[in-house]
Amino acid sequence: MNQNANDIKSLIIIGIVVMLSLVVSVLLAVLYNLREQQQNQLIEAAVRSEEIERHRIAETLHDEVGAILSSAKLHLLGIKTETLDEKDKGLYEKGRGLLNEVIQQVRGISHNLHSNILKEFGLNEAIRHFLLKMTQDTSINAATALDDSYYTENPDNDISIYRVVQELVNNILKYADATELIVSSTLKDSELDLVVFHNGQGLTQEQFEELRYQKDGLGLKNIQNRVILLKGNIQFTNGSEGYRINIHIPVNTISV
Amino acid sequence: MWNKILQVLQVILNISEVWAILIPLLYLSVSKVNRAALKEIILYLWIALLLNLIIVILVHLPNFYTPERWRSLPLLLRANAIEYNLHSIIRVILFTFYFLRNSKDALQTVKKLILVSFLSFAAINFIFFESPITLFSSRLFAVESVVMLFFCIYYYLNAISEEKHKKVFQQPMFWIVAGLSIYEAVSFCIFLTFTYLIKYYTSLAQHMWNFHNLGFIIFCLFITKAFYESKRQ
Repeated sequence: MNQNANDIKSLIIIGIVVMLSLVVSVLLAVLYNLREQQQNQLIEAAVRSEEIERHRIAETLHDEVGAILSSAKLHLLGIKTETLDEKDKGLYEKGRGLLNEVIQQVRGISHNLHSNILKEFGLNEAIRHFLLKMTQDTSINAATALDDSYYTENPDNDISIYRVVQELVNNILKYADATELIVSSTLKDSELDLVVFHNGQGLTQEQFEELRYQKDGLGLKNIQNRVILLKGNIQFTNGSEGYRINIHIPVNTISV
Repeated sequence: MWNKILQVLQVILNISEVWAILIPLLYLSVSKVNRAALKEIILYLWIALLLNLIIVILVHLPNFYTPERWRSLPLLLRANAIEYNLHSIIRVILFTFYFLRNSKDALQTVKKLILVSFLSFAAINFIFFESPITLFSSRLFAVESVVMLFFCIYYYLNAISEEKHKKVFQQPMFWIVAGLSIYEAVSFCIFLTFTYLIKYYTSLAQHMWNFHNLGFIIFCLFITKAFYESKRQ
């Protein structure tokens, strides 16, 4: 009888432990999920406020600073140069040149911060335009091979993808010493595969993992946050021909 | 010395179904808790306190009577099964109402159906199969555990997708559900086997009931935490 009682006691205790473990596991799974979602929300909030700020600065630069500079140029052009001596003519030309340069720079910064081409012509056109603009006076052979069947309903996604490409291309131009740069994309089964290839000095996956947590992490943290926001993944690989950055993003698309 | 300590602990545990409920009720009396939002829980605590008090009194009543006089007392005074069975039914009713009011999810109709089914099951069980007065109903309590655990786990799964999940630890409902799920998880196996244990292994049944009481203490502590979060809001 005692043995039976002990057996039953053991069984009940095992049952209690199993049930408790089940409930605690569900609770822990829920808490883990909530924590992950909270982190994603923080990232989303940070990225969103960054875009709002960029847009605001771009608008201010274009509408206010740009307008003032254009007005200054008009006033300068109104000066009668025939009455100026050689020294003053030189100063006038220099001033006009500097003013033209700053107008171009302000326009470039404004477009960089907020691309109207992205808004009006879509992601592919924005990437083509950006790559052309960044590499036109350099020794780099840049090319694009973008899938034109890509069209998305979500402009926020496009902005994030564009920013990732911007950041990667900027880093390559600054640090990689590459002579060849190709940005390509493939759309298949509602998934966009973006590949940035270059033949310079790039990052491996381990280096990327390490650098993105550093203070001067080349904007890699920004890239990582945007990829998380897009629910995608990013992979750095290197082969004999060069370095490849694969960005894989699930998208809601309408095929053209 | 060690035996004396164990005896004292056993007495404390035996009456824990009463003093554990006093913890959240005492906190309720000294704090500005949002009573409207927790009315079902507060009502449950008061009813549970009353029922458990009666249960504890009835357990010790034989000490005041001779065996002959004890046997002449009405059945309701000689058995506390009806208080236990009633406690289970009240718990299901009030906590189902609490879930219905505070969790606006897709299963509202299903929860109402489950409540009606549970009450129907209780009625049929006590009319045709078991006496509610003389027998602690293992079936009733086991079904109660399954129903409550289902509501709790559904709440957890829903909590992932709801917007409110941003401050889940500050929501009183989270703590109430956590306490209820721990209590029901600990008690399920005990409830399932209790009638059998009482009949054939009485001392083991009493020993196992200690685990139930521990689960109940934790449940009441979590309710107190829920009251605290409600006050903070």
